[in-house]
Amino acid sequence: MEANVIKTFNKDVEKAVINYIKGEQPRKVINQPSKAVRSGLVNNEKEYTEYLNEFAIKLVSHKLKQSFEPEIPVIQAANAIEEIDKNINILYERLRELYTLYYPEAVRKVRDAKQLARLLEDPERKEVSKKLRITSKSIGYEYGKEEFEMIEEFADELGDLIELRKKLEDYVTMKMKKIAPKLSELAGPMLAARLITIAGSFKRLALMPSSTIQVLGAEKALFRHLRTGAKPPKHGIIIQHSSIQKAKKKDRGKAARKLSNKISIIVRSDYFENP
Amino acid sequence: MITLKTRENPRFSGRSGTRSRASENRKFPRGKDKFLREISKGIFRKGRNLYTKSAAPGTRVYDERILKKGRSEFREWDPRRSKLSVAIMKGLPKVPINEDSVVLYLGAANGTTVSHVADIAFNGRVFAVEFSPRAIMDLIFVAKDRNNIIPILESAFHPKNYKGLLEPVDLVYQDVAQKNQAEILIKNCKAFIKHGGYAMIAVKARSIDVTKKPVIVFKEVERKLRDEFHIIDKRRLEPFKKDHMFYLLKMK
Repeated sequence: MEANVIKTFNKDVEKAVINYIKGEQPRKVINQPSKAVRSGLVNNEKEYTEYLNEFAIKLVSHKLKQSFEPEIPVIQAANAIEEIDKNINILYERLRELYTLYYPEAVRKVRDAKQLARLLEDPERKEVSKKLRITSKSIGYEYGKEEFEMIEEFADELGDLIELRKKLEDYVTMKMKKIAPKLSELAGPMLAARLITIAGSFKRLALMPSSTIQVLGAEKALFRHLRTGAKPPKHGIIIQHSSIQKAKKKDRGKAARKLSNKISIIVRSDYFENP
Repeated sequence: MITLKTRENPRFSGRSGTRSRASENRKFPRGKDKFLREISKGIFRKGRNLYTKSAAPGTRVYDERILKKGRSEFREWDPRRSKLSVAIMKGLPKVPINEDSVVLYLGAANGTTVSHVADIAFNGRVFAVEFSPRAIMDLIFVAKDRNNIIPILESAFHPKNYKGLLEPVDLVYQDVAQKNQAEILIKNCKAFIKHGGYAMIAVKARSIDVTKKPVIVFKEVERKLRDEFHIIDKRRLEPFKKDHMFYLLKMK
């Protein structure tokens, strides 16, 4: 019986939602239970509740579809990159530590995670020494076959993670160039993505004053300043930009202010030209 | 599954171990109820915990603990997840919700507190307004299990946008943590509340003004609220929520 009622609703509700969005449906019937019963839309108040529930869920689903913005997956990807970076660092340190015990001379020559992952595709001493041209005898412990297998697996995973990071970065770069071409040109696609991530959405970044953009990512310091009167932060995430990196320490505040001015102008032009 | 402990149950007799923990939380009253007891319409208490009778047995909203008694299920109302739960635990004198209540809930978020309100008002309706698309995705699934929840994707600052769905309500509950949250409450109450209806608001001092002391912020909020409401009760939500004040109001 109950399932029947809901079924008949389904068809009507769909129509009613569309009418409601267009503004055609006499809205009074929906928002008054007694009238809804009298008009024959539903039989009693319990049914009215069910009807309204169906109606609202359909309406929200419809609106949700429309609320999609192209930057939403980009924000997730940019967050993922940050998290993967942390993970790569932790795993890299652990793998270094693990391999140092076996072959310290080799590890001393390794500079970054990517190099280490590639080097340990075959972790045995004779292979590694060939690749790094080490001639002296090692002072490390001896590892067995099981350890080599484990290290190989570990290095493999680390290499995959580095590759994933690269793919995500490519995706974010490509997308940012489409969504905000001028901002990507000025700030670089990765910094642009980070700015949008911290602001919450492209629209919110576009509506921000440049003084806010200047300290995006330095919220802790900013609120410390507001609360206790400590020194205000000179720059937030935009410190990653090369023009601020290059500036002398005493000019960094100025550089940050000017850059954020330009960013706020350009992000508006990007957003409002093709929203 | 948790079984109800009875007086005959030997596990229940030794309570020396709990004493030290009780003294740490002295500010927080420990319930004397050893069994489920209805402390307000639809709200139950056992020991320190609050429960509502589930309107959708067999489902969970936020991995809460469930107490089974016969055929019915009682869902634990976690004070770390719900400000209303804290306020009730800290002794709110009256919870103006009963089984037929029509509630307007502003700031519904993922539907944790909403689900409990809907449990209490199982014969009424809960209009749950939330502006974040992400949060309302979770809320929709709660609303599918409890058909007295009516989700609305709108900003609570513009009541006219959802006027077409709403009837006059008995209670407006607001938890939005916005700078102008008092104005939002007043606006909605003027638009929707029945004569003599109640309102509840959880004020977060830190979202109104981080630079001022919470006590001063609360005073300012109270001044605004007094124009429209009688303040029946107010409660700080420590230790679960920092710098929050919970008000129970009645329309003038």
